[in-house]
Amino acid sequence: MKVLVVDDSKLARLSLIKTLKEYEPSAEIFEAENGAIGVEFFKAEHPRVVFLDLTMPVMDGYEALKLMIEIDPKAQVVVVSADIQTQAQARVLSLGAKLMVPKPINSEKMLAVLQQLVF
Amino acid sequence: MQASEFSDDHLDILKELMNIAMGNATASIADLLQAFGTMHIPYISVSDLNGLKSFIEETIPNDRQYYVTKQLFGGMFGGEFIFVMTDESAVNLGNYLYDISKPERADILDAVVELTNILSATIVSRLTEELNTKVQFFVPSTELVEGNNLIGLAEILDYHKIIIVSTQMVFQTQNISGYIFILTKGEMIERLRHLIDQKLEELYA
Amino acid sequence: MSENLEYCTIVFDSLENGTLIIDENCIVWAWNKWLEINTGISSESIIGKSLELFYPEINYRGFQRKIRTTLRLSTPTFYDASLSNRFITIPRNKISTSLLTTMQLQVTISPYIAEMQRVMVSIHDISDLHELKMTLQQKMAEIVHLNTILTKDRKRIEILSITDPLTKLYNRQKLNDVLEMMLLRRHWNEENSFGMIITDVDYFKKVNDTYGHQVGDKVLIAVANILSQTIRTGDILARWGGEEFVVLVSDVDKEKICFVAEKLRTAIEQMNIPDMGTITASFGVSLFVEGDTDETLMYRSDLALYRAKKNGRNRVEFS
Ligand SMILES: [Mg+2]
Repeated sequence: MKVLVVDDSKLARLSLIKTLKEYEPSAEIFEAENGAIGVEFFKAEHPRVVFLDLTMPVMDGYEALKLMIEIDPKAQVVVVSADIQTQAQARVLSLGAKLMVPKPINSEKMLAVLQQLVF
Repeated sequence: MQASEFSDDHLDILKELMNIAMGNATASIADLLQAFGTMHIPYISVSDLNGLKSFIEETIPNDRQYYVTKQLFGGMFGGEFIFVMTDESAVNLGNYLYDISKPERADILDAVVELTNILSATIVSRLTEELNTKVQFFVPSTELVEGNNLIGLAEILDYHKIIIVSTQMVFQTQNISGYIFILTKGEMIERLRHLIDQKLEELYA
Repeated sequence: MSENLEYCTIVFDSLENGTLIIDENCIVWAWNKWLEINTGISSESIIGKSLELFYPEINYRGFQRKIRTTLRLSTPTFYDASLSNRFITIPRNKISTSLLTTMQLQVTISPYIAEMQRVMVSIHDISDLHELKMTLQQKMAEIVHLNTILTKDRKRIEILSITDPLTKLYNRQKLNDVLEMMLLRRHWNEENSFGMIITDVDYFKKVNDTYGHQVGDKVLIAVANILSQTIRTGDILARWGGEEFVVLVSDVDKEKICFVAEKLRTAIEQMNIPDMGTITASFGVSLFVEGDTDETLMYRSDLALYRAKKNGRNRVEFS
């Protein structure tokens, strides 16, 4: 299973991947440090799941999310963000994100996320 | 690596923690103002007093008046929280919180203190919570400053080495925004590094 | 349990600051002895009632918002501690004279029992601190004022110490300092050539004897003025003493420095002094040579001046 992790923080990616591997040890993981690179990977690899940060340089998560949904309306994008405003959540879901999880991610949250995704 | 030096990993983690802390703060303020705030990528650097001065000069335009609120916090990790608001923003805030079209100076000061209170409490508490420690807050003080000479006032800043954590809070519709600085120095930098080291160990384990 | 409660009451009433417990609707649940003494309101009369009944002037919307923030974030919140009090007004009862008639308060709202939506408000009287600050600010202003006067005075003294009071030219002391500097600079850089012109007013004693000292002084001032108008900017002119003046001229050779001296001589000669007429002066010129000290340089200039006097005055000699 291909999974794309988009976050400008290297350690945020690391921690997310670590918790993901607890449940999906065989996942094939692609990392991107901003939205623009994330979209490129998305086009090339067609990942099953995308974990997407919002606050990033070059291209933020909102923009990347919009482009990914345009490319594949059925994409499973999980927004993982520090922005926990209800309006941010509403905006992200209306743009086509599957779920929104507040940072930082931990095992419990990861499990809850994986249970709601389709593989 | 020198004891007080921060690696890219340290800065990365601090930036991400600050992001999370800022997210909580923005949500709290959004609640207070019933508005939606834009999040900015925080800036983190290890510097000295001159570096801080030039950073402030570059970040904050000199041609205005600012309400500058400073609040100390202490514990295993301690420092100074500084919140800088333009005169205009502060008036808008006073307007909004006290529901008067021409808020008095005292209303504005109190509104600024109130906002700073929420900001420092959420940001610093969240930051320290992530680092598995606790802090205590001291009484904040606000003053109106002409231009961006903020450090001239900070007599306490006899800092040799400073960590600058800086970001912006923007509520566009309400026209309220501010600059946030968290400064820490000396032994506290060591402790912060130690706390981050523990966090890193967890991650790389 | 009841013993514990008793301790709590004792501690609560012994606190050296005002402490009250209040809920989100501003109903008072506890009011300690400090508050009873300083406000004149007994705890029996206020407990169970709204604070607003006793203090209607507070902005309750702001206060309630602070209480909510305190409870929601479970963190203390504060009032701005500037001079304009935002919380209750408490008179100051100190006998000694004071700048403040009501207490300056530092107010902290801390979470108390979150489930019951109650907070603890502690009030510190920081009037003494404020008075101290006010006095300090006043003293600081005085110091700043005195300091500016002092700086001005110091500048004046500095100028006086290097100036000849009559002609306002540099005095001998300053000339010596400059000469020393130029000699040093010559040591660092051999390109820095310079020379010295000494001039002495001819028959000055006669002027004094004939016209009196007042006219004599006028002559000296006139000579000083014409010399300073004629020299190049950057050259150093000083009154050496009596009717003798010295010019230090940089970046010159023998020909150039003699030309400067000649120019000065002509200028003096052509000058018309009211109540008196014309005067002349004699000039001794020398150039710095390797190994010169201030003394040897001065000696050669003096020698040249002596020769100018001996050879008929109103002339320039080089040595
Ligand atoms: Mg980010």
